[in-house]
Amino acid sequence: MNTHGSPESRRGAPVMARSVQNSYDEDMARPRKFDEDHVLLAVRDEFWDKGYAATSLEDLLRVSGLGKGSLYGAFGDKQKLFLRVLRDYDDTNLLMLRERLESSARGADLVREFVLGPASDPTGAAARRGCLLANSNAELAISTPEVAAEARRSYDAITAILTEALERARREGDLAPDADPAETARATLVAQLGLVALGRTGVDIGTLTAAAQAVLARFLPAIAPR
Amino acid sequence: MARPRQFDEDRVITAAMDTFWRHGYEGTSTRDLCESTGLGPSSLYNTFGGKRELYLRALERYYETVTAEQIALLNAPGSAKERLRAMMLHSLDSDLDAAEGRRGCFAMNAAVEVAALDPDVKRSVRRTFDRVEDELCAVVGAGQATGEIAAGRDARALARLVQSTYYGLRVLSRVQDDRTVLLSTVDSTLAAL
Repeated sequence: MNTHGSPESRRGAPVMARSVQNSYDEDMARPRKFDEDHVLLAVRDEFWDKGYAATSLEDLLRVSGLGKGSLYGAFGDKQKLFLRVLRDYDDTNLLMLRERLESSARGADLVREFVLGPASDPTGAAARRGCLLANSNAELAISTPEVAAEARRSYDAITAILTEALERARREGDLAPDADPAETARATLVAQLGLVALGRTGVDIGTLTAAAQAVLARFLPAIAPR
Repeated sequence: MARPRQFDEDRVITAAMDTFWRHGYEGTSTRDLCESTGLGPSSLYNTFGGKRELYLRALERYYETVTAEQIALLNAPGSAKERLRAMMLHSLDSDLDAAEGRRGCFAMNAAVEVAALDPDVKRSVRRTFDRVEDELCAVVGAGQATGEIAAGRDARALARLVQSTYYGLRVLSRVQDDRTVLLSTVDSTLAAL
């Protein structure tokens, strides 16, 4: 999901990813000779830019600065490394969504951010880059069941967070009293997946923004930008 | 030597389309293409110029056949919402058909996998998406004219809402096989138009 804001927050990101990673590191018994966070982010960016199949072992060694023995010794083979990166990416997104749900003044704020997210980078670069999970799903859902399972896990978790946000929005008067939060959450996720996909096709950012606003006007007319 | 072409070009492109659709561009090897088309590597390359050229022909074939089918459903008799629903259900059912391998929309897969790296692929898939958007817009406009769809809203904006939902469903249907859930999303989106 393209829930990160700007390209910078994705690239250098995640203050949050780092804290997740650190707590993970502390649990690990043996220290690594390299900065695992740094390696995983570099590898993630390479997979994200090129796709799974088009990323070669040489690419991974170049961006990680490691030898094959160290890289695969630490993470297993290319597929295991990819699945690890994908899972970290999803966990970071989910954590960020959950945190925004808790810090938002209104439940509807999270839904608005989620829907407008794919169009949030005015240069269009983030939209064209797409979402690592969606890209992986398109490339690998058939050949790699683990990727399909990861996508399912992530989409279910996002639906649960959106449902919670929409329940709040209903209590707060931003969602019609007779609207079904779970159903609205599913429809919102589906439309957002479509926006992410359209962004990836190279649609111009103005068109993408208009489409995102049309989605919002449909699901949350009370708070949609006019 | 003036040997007659021993294969039917149409059939070869269709077979290549099915292979690329299922395995993606990078995931398809020359050997896969030879197996599915029944041609040897040299005939394949001499006739079509190479994997990339064959991929572009496959995308064109998709536009002429599968996209044309979607557009025909949008232009079939019936109310605007009936036509939108028929088009979405048709795609959903082909996505959920296990025999087809849950392969999603070929143009969308191509957009996600290759379009960012190859301008010709991008042009080809943009044509598909733009055409579908125009057709959706025409159906929404027709629905507004008959009062079936609220007239106060911009037809293009509503068409993009339908389009986002449509492509989102095609992404989700690759990993979510509960038809009832997917169907209720179609219906709630149409109900809101």
